[in-house]
Amino acid sequence: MTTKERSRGMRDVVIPGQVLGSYDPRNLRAGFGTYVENDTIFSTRLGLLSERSGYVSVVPLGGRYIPRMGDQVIGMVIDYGASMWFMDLNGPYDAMLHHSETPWEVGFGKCAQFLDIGDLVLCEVIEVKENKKNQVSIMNNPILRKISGGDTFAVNPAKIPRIIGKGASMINQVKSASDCKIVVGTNGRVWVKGDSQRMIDARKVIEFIADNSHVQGLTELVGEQLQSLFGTKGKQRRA
Amino acid sequence: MSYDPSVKLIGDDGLRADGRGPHDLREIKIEAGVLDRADGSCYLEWGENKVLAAVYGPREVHPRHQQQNDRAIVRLTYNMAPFSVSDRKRPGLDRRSQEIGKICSEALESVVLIKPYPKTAIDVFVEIIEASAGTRCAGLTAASVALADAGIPMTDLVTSAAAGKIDNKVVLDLGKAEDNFGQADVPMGVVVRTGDVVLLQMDGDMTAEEFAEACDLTVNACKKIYEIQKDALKNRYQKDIDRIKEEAARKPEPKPAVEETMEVPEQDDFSDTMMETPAEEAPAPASEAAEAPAEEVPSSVPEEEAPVPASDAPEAPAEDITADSPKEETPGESATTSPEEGDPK
Repeated sequence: MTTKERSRGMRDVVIPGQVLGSYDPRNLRAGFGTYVENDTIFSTRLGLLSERSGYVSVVPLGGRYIPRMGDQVIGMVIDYGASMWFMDLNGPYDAMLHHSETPWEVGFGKCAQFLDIGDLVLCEVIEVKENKKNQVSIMNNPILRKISGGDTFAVNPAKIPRIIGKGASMINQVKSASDCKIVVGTNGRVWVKGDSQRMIDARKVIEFIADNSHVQGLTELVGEQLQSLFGTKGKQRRA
Repeated sequence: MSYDPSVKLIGDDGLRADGRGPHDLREIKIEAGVLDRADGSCYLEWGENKVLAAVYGPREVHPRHQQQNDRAIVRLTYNMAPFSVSDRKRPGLDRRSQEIGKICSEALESVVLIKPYPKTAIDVFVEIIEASAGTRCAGLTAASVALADAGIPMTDLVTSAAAGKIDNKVVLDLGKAEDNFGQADVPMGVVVRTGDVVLLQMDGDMTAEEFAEACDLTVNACKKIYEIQKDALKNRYQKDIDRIKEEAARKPEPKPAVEETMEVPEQDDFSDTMMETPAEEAPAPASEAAEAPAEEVPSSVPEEEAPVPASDAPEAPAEDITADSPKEETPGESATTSPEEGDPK
């Protein structure tokens, strides 16, 4: 692929085991989704090739959510103990929410009075250990909270960056067109709340973005869809 | 395999019963991403074999005692549909399917990067819808495409094929009758780039020379099958990209309703000229570089050996497909609700 093609926004689809270049610590290093063998860089994933600032990496097109520190995710309470809750993060690894990581005064053994099984919580991953005993928090940030009402659904976590868009432009466009409250968790869970029909339509749009995340010129298509569903293309506010 | 010398499998013209030469494969078709509910999937047709593979995971291990604290486990379940053979097959696991499941999971475990996902299982389900000799090879080939489709990190794909001996001749890719009345069958799983053999079985008898010949035949055949696997994975996404480009190119002036845009039937064949169509969106690479956060840089890069990359272990940030920096603004930006909703009962 030539530089010219790349600048047009075309990206190569690469597959596991594909040669991406020769490893050279000065010019080309191995980034995410790659491995080095005999000074050659290979891809480990099915994804889109990306080469930037001396690193060649692969942007995955699929895969489950693996927690990372600082991620803001929508967790679901699956169990609780005397002083903590256990959250499902839409992936292979669960996380613990300790009562000291909440803004509430939770009495010993009174966890269920605050969060019950099945409740959804917007929380932040604060600790990821080697043994995958992870911890989340809802402290120190007013947007972290229990969420109620609305509709929550899951999309592939690899598609989340595309749903949010450059500087949150895409999600802001959907929000302003649909007039719904939308929270996108890094773990692939999306929460939408608003008028019931608009909520359904907003979900349709978000699922459309997830299904077509690898397509260039998606913004235009989304604009068209918003226009037909809500009668407005929405505003692209960038952060 | 019940050898019957009275059955003639190679004709006087040197061709086999189905018209193939001794070194010909049956026709192979692979399609990736055919199931919506699975994380990754693949449908494969190999001659008259029809195989569907689905991948789920990494996910929690049940039963718990199988869990490994330092790595993921790869579990392959091989199952033949009752209607896959001419006499009805009794449904469910049997000795044969357990064996195939075990050897195929071990073959796949050698290419899947299992270290970054401790305590998890990667489940592969191979369903044989129609069987006509060589189903384990077809199943393993399909399973490795499905794994890649599921976004599981792997060092390479596994490709599989079989050779055998019929009428005292070594031939490639035995068919149904050849499998039943031939003298030997050697299925192999190969990592094409490195030449690693990850699965090897033999049913029947062969001399050492014949065995070496069979191995060479299989490895060469795997190179062809590997190309088909590669195309299947690339087409999975490329076909959508091409479709949208084609749409954009022939879009009439008054724009069609969005529903139409979405329901355009998928095209199998795309002319290369479509690649010349300029993409609608052309983000300037300079601004991309400026916006790319330094955090994308992995902490360390393995120098030489390490097939399990250090760069994969501390999961470098998932970068945005549109090449911007999404991490920080994720729900912080998107959260517009008032905090009072978070109050407990």
